[in-house]
Amino acid sequence: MSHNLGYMEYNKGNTGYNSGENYPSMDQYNYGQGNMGNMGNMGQQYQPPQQQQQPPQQQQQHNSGFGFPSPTLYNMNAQQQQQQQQQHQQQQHHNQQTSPMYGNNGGFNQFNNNDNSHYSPPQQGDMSRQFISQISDNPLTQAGLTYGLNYGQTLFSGGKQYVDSNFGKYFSFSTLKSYFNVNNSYVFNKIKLLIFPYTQKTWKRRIGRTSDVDSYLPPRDDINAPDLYIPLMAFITYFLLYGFQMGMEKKFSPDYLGACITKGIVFWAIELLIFKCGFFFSNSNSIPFYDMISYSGYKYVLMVIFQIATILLGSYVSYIIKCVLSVSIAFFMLKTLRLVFSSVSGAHDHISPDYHESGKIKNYFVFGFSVAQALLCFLV
Amino acid sequence: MNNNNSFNFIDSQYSTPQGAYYDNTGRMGGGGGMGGPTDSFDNELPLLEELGINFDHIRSKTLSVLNPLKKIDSHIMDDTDLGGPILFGLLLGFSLLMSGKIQFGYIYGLGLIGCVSMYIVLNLMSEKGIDIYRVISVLGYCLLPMIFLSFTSLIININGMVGYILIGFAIVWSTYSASKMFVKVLSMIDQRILVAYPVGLLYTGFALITAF
Repeated sequence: MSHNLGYMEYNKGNTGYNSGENYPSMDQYNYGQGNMGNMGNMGQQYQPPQQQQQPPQQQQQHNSGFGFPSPTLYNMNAQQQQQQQQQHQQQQHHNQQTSPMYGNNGGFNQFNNNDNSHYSPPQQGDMSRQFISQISDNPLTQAGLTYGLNYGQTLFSGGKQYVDSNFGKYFSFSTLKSYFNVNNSYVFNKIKLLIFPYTQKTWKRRIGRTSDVDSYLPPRDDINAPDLYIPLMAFITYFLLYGFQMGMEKKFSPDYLGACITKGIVFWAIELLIFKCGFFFSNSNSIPFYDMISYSGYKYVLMVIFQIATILLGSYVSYIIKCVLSVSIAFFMLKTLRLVFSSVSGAHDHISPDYHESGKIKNYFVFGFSVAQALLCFLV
Repeated sequence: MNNNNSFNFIDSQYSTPQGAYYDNTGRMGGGGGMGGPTDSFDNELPLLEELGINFDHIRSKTLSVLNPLKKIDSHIMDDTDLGGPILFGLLLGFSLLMSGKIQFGYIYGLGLIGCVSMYIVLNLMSEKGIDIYRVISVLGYCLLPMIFLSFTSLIININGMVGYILIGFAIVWSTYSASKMFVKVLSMIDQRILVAYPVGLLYTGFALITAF
């Protein structure tokens, strides 16, 4: 700490020399001011300033060009004593008591008084105040502290922006809210459509115009719109009914039911992953992720009906019901996804060869997905 | 000097219950110094009011759960206290403990997942939101029929036709009470069945833990 301060003071001394005039005695005077400021800061410690004076003395000799080192040392000591006499007489007495070397330099003090008479006392006072104020300012420390504080704030705000942008990209509450915009009649009619989809005439989603923007109507107003309420409730209902069935068979355990639900969630996630890969390989624009969740979750409605039949009627009749319901879900998916793909690739109608090629692949994908939905009813 | 202090102490001790009951603060009137402690005691709030436990509200909410057919006030759940739900949760755990099943962890876990899920679904379905403390309060108070079911299972065998009827009755009772409160708070008249269904799923989970 003190070593750094000494180095900074020496630098300031050099700066004064460079900006000042080219008088050797002026150079000595500036250096003397620096030393005096250092002694003022150190206070009662006398030994450390002596050690710090070694490197400046060498450079001083080099700059001033004096041939004799010993006269320079005596001159510096004499200047210090004169300045102390001018400003603090009591301090002089203290120095005389502590170190007898100053007594030996008494003759040189008298000899140098004539030379120092050329300088005016106000200049000495002003420069000493300037050096003291500069030393106490510590600009390097303040600059470092300010820079560190600004860097911390910049880092925090950058991280916050990153989190906000990424969270807004993957999860939108308003979009999710539109999938839960359902009412009693929609849910009832949708479940009826899932159970018996053969009499439905129109499968296309209705488009509503709001402020010159064409967008799909919410599930509340369109029977063909996908929602997330029915898949979510059907999924939970299926596993609760399965737990009830285990309870009737005296095999119920909360741990086992929790494991079954976790396994169901994992299978649903794998199915969604395959669904997304299917879109990728068929070279078509992807539908929203929530639509995928909705379409792949509708089969749980039929699984619930199968579970109720199993509890009430037994395994043989429920197996027949399961076959009938799997055909229903396949038909439903075939009709729905075909229109979903055609609406997504509507912009490519004018290019006939590409349309035919991608149309074939999409038809295969739609058929495969429908069959997979039917088979998954037997696996779960 | 000592005699005066003991007399003052006895006097303040004697007058405190009298002041609380009959509000005769200035009855003695002998010395000005005696009135200080008595006034400070009379100005104190009751302990239960300071703690925030209001047994009148807890009792009125419990009665509204027990009688779901009565018309309820829309401000019945304005003070969303959590004392009732915690009490009913612990009561359910103790009743299951008497039947030889230690299910405190499952009750806490299912309650936590159920309340958070209901909070998410209700905020997604309704235009006007609801805070999670109100959800916990409503679902916790409507757990009371499950406690009756659990105590009933101590008496009779729950795994039979009569038991299944009782399970269904308890689930319907809890679901009806809770969905009535939610619909009243959220103003979702045309979605009454849709609000009731996830509530029914939650209480079915509690019924599975209770009965089996």
